[in-house]
Amino acid sequence: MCACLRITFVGVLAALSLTSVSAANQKEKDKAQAASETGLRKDVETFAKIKFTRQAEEAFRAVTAAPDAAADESTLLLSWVQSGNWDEVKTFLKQFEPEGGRRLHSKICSDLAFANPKSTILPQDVIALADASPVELDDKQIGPLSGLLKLAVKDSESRAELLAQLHRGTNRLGGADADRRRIAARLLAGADLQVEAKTFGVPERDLRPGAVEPPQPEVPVVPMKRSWDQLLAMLRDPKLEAAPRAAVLDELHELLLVAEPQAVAKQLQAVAADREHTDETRLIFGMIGQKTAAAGREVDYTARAVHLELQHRAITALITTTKLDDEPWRTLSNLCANNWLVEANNSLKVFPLWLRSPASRDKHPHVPLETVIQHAPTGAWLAALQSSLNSMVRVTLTRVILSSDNINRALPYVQELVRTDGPTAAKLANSYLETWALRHDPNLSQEVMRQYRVDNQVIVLTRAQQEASLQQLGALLASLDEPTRKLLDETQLVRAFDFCHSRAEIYTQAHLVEVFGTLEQISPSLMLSLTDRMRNKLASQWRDLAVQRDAATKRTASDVFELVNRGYDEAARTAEQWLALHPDDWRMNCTVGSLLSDRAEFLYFQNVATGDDGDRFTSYLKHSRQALNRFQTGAAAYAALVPKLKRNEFDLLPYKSWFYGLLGITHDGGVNLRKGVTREEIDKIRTALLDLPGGANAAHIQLFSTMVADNITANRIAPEMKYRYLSSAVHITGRQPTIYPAEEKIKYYDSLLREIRLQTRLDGSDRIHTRGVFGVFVSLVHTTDVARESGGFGKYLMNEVPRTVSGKTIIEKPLYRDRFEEALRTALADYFEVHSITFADPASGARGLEAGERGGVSPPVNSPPNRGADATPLASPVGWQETPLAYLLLQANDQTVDRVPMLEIELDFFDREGKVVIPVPSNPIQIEVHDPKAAAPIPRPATNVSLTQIVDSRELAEKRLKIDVVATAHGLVPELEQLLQLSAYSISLQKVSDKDDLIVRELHSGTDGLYPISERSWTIELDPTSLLRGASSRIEFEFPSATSAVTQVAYRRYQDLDPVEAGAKVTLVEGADVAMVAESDYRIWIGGAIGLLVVGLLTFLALRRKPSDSSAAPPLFTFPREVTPFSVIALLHRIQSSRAVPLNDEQRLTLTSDIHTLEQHTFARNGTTAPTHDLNALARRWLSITESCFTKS
Amino acid sequence: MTVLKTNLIRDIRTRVAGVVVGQDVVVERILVALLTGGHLLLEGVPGLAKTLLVNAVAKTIGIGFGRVQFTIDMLPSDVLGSEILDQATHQFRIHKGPVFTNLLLADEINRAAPKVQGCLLEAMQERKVTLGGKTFLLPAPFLVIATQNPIEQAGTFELPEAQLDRFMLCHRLHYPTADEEKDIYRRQLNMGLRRQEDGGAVPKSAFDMIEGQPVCGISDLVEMMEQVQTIHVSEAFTEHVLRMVRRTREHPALEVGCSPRAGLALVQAARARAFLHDRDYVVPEDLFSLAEDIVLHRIRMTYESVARGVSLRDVLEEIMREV
Repeated sequence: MCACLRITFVGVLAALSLTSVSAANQKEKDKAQAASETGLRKDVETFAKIKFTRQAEEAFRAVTAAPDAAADESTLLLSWVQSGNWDEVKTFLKQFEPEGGRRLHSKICSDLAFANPKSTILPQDVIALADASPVELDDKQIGPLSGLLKLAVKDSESRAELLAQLHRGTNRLGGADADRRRIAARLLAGADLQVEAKTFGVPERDLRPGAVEPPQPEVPVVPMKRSWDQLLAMLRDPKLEAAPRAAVLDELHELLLVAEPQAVAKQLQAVAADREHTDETRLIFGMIGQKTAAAGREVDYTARAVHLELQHRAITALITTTKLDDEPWRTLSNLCANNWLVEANNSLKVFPLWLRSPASRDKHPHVPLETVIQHAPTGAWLAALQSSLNSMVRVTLTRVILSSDNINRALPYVQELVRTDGPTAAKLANSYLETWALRHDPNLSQEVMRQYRVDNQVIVLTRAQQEASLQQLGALLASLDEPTRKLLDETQLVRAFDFCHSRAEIYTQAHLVEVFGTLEQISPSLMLSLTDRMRNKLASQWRDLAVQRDAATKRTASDVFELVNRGYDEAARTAEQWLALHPDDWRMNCTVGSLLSDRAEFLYFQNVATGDDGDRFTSYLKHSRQALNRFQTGAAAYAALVPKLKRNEFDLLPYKSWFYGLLGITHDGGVNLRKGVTREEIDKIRTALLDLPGGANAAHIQLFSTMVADNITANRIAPEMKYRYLSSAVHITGRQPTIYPAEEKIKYYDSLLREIRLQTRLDGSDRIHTRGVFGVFVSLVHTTDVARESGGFGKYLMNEVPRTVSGKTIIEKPLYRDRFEEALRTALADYFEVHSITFADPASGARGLEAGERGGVSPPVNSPPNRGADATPLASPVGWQETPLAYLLLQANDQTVDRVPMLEIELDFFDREGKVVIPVPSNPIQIEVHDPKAAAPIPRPATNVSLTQIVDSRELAEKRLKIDVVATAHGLVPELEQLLQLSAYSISLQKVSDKDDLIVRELHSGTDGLYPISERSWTIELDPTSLLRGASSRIEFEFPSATSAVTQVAYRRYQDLDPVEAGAKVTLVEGADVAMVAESDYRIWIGGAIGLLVVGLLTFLALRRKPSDSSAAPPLFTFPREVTPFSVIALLHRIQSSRAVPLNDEQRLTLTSDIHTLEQHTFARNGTTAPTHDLNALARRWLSITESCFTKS
Repeated sequence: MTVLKTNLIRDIRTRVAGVVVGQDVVVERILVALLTGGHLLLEGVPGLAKTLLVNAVAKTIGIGFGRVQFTIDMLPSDVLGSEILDQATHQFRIHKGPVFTNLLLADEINRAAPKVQGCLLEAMQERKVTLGGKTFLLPAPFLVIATQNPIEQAGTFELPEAQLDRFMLCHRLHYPTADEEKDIYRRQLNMGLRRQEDGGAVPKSAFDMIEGQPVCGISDLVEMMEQVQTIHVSEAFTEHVLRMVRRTREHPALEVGCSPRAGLALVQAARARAFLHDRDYVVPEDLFSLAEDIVLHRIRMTYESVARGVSLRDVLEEIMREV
């Protein structure tokens, strides 16, 4: 049964199919019958076999070929297509039945579109071919036609004429008819002209069929070389066959290529002027165009340039004798222009690659731009071109000129284009400006900088070049006519201005005026762009030392500060002056507000960086106030404008920039963590929003809420800023459904602080002496739960924190400790001199808090400052702990200080969106600062005081005696007078000086409590006279005693450089050394003097009674200590050479003889050393002789 | 007793004295150096006839003489020679420098860079030079007499102790006495003019006085050198030299004392002096006379001694008196 059913079903299908086929056949037969009845041709198949191509050479050949009366229809059709005789094509296609005509038309379009090499076709040809269709165009025709159109426009910007023509309407395209408009749109879209297509309606289909195998061109046989005249004569021979004719033409062309330019021009002019042989003339000029087109596909770029030049000469020669408006010259000149266009586009495409580097030049050859420019269609040639081709040529020529060295030649073309094609002219004008600016960039290239660094003693002329470039830019802009000037994009103008500037130099008002005219002449949008750019550059580029280094300005950090200061001044002054002329420009007001805000930040941190404490905070507040005023003015100006605005024109910028300026968020997202946000300022923003007229307030608050909610959702708020940002935003908007997530977060963050807070507490009494230092403990007080969950707070006391990532330990540098120290110093700087900040050991951990402990630490009971009511501490008596952080050693600046201000530490938390940094504050502590004239500073707590006294008697001989005292204590070491009984000391003091100021060595945290361990040392200089006077056998010394019995005291004395153990009493000197250092008693001096006088008198008398026998003069020669031949000979030589001894001649001879004898006996060969007694006798004899001679004299 | 050829020495001295006034001691030192194969460093201000003296001695003895004026831009090849490419034959050939002579006067040696000083002193020590991979022996006898100007210090490179030690003697020249200087003037006044081939004339200088045949040749010199080697040195003398040398190493005022080379130089120079004084044995006088020239440039005082103002001469005198 199933089989029967299936057979029946198939049979039905077959029957239906047969019925359908027979119906179609019947329809065809009917149409054919109808056609035959109308007299239309059916033999379309004959022509469908033709391969339609239209390469440039073919086009030239077809245009210049003489009409062949004997040619068949196929040949004629092909020649009409190749020569662009579309009217004939159209007439021919009309002979056929509509379907046949459509098929043949499609065949022509497809063959031309998919030909390889590509067909040569112009935009007007495409329109004409489309119009040649005997029926309305369908998709099969539109596809190839789109391809042809894309080929024809060649990426040129110039489509104005084409569009205008399509909008006017042609036979088959555009115009008023909706279908034809749709077809035109689809044609344009298919040619990738989407923008243009939008004016008609955009089709969705793009047809991109494959390419067809190109026909191989025949290689002509070149005959032997002959003269120009001979060849010309041969060509004029009507009997010459086609093949030899082609060979003659080739030979003529070769002659033209190698001949002198003047000769070529002369010959071509002669040929063009020859009215008798117009066919040959056509052939020759067509052959030149044909060869130029063929050369355009060769890789020999020199040959291409030569062909281009020859083509130009040919057209120039033609112009002198013939009107190009007539056919075939009109088509010929268009095709030649197309040749130029192909070459020009190729050079434009390759030139940037060629330019990239010296190495790439060999890889990217092209016809030089100057050659392309030189042989471009101009004058009568340009005028003879189709309008669209004309525009394309002009645009392309302008582009080529803009790539060349002398871009100023482009200006006339741009100014001419303004009248016909505004958008294209605008693009070219902006491109011209950009190119001009790039050419006038005064900055040094990387290559130059590398070379410069080798020899950095040169002066870089960037600034001078900048001045010249800016001057030229100003002159250029002034020289432009008004329509052209209006074409220039303001962004492009600012870029050009920037390009002409050195990267390291600021903008000045003088430069702005020089380039853009007076401030009155500068438009709002241009001024806004300039100010914004100045602001950006001041905040980044101009303050970057690396930029200055690269520009070789040799500016130091302080020079850069000065430069940026000047930049801010110039920018602010210029903007303020401009605003005086346009006070209602709210955008400019907001931008200037941001600029002033940046300046305030910069000046503040400049003072921080240079260590110039000065009055930086006051200055910062003043500048911030200026910025906030400007924001407020901008918001007011905007509010005045709001009634005129539609809802979709509402802008949040005035309030957003105000809000960001208030929070200290700079333009680039940088965050100033120190910036305090006051409720008053937040209220001003809220009020400004609420005061917006006509219901706009709700819309703006909604916009604000949406901005905040979006930032939360996108997690765009910096962790450091989250708390401040959200709490302020919620305050501005109030309770809004949109901002509900922010409210929740604020509550959540506040709740975190119920279990942790910063605590400061004084070490000792709150009565402080202005001259004395005092200590403050800084700790985190928290629950044990938080301590457990956070893993401890030791990391906030470290700059580097280890972290394990994928099994590897890496060191991060969040600089917690530095940031904490900076925050402490910044907060305290206005009130105290910070002597030292001693951080606790990060590993010391937390300690439990017990009632009655040192300082009376207790869990925080008050709400933290600046927090809502939700931030009350946990009520339950959970375990509280204290993590000591630091010990501050402070000294009050003056008596007006009445509190230790609120301090903050930033702690990291993590919520669902990631990290959030919440500042945890402390409560201020009240203190009472005493009159500086008070007797003495109030002692600070100190236990376990230990003293080490070292006596230094090494310079006792010079009457100097010192004691070095080193004291340590748990707490702060008291003053020396409170440690030692110096007033009752037996030795008088000369001077007491601090050797080392009070130093807190360590912040101890342990079971015995929390206390600092401090150290201090002094040098006591003593007057040792009382010890030295009258000392005989030893000098004893006793150290001063401690004031307190519980003070541990150790005694030392110096032994060379080493202190050694000693007792409270120590012997400084004993024995014989005492005499060297001791001072005699004056009575002993007097007695001694009298004794000496008596002894001297007695001696004098004794000498008077018995004169001395011995002579007072020392002996001239002494007996040798060791008697050797050497010593004796030396003695004798000395006697011999001495003029003091008056030896007579005989004695001298004897002496010489004795010397000689002794020398000979002792030193001569076989000589022996004389016995010692002989040497003794000889020496004594001559000493005796010498003495007697001397006595006699 | 060996018959010494001291008559030749007398002739040499007479000939040199005819050219150079005074400076007998310097002539004696030059001869000592020649006879012992040592080298001599002359220190003195310009204008003391150092170059003239050496030139006169060289021409009197009839040995090869070369002179190099040292400057800061000199290269070792300027002294030693180099291998150069002969353009005619396209082959490398050796160009021997001025060091290839018997008597080389290295004028102002402290003006040359240490590299040049080093190469010359190496040649002095080894008496051979390597050029282009080949080693060439220097002529024998080979004597370098170097001069240095102690006044000018700018642009000079002081010779280090190790290199000074290569010089057997370092003699400090002094100004001539008044009589000698008067004699010098008188001689110059009587010299007259020297006519030149081009018809011009220049005043004669002391160099023009060096004329005539040499009084002896290299063979005579070698023979004299052999005789010097036969001069007797007694045990007492050697002992004394040893004590003196060792004392320099222990003296508290000295940082660097004498090397054994100094002791050898003392003994050898004493021999030569004895020869010059027509003795065949050395006597203490030889040591006393030569000690200053042989010892002083080899020792260096401690910083403390220099600070106290003690001079090297004082220290040497003290040592000689002690031993």
